[in-house]
Amino acid sequence: MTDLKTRGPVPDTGSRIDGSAGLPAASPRRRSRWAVVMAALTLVLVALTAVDVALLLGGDDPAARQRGPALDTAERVAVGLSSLSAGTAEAQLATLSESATGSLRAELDGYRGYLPAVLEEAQVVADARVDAAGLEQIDDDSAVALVALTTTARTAAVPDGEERHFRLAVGLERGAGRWLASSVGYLP
Amino acid sequence: MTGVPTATPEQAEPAPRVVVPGTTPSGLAPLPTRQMLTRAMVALVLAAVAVLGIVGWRWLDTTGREQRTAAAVDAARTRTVEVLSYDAAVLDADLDAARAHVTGELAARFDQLVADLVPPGARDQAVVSRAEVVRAAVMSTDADRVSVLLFVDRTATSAQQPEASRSTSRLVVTMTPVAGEWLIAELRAV
Repeated sequence: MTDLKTRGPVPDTGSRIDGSAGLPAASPRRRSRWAVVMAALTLVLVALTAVDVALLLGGDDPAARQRGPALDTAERVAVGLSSLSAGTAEAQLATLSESATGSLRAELDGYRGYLPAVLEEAQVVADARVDAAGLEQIDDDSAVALVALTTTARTAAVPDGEERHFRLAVGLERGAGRWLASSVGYLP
Repeated sequence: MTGVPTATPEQAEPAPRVVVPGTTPSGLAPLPTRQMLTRAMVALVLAAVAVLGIVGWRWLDTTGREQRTAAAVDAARTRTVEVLSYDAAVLDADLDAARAHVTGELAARFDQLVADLVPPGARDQAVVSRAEVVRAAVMSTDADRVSVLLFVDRTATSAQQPEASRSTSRLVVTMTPVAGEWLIAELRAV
């Protein structure tokens, strides 16, 4: 009688009548388990390979990839905040607000009510440049950037302008796939 | 009696089965399909192992790089404080110690650095300068250089001005590894 539980190599010898014992045949239940295990293993391997390939295509270091965009936002906000000028402040604040989040965004929106008029009255024209910037800390969702900034502000009272150096710490948060400034602190 | 032969279960012969080429005797899985699946699985496993190996190597490389960067930043903080701090009473010893923290181009122009840091008459006025790094940020990294932005507070006292005067500065310090240690290769105020 054929041993249904015995499995082994199956000779492929063409069509024949086989009524003898010794040819292996797995039970349907066992074959079913085998198929499920193979399918699961295949899925796991495919998923693993997909993740691996995605990581490879993504580059060496996910954190390193975020450094540039995070620093760009920090520098843009630091320069924007320090170069608010008469005549353009309203538009500058609107642009800055789009790069900000949380309490900083609310603060910037609040400025729009009165700051343009103040700058207009003093005829302020300000420029700012980044002397150096780096990341103090960064992870997937947040970062802190330090920015060394130089500003030149010309006013009606100081038409030649006055150059000042600042040390800024810009808090950053990642949302909707981009970095937004959440705080700006001027260090004494 | 019908005369039709009957057989008991014990006497029954197993029914002959037709085995079609390319199938198992049970007829469930065609052999070529199973072989192809097995080969595909083996190829998939090998590919996954290879890719996993590369990703693992890169992970180790990234981790090592992060550790190197952290060590460079730590060294930038401590060595910059050592270079910027001095006591005129032991100025020569302090400058000798400071010299050990710099390398390369900065070591070559160390005397110029000292002239920038130590005002004339510092010995006579018993100047004591202390530096503190209040914040540090990584500007850039590569295999043998890490540039760090330092926000530094300095206090100075002298015989004429015993009350400490405070000044702030922004320094870009470039660190480079020398014999397993991160030394200051460049230091400039921005």
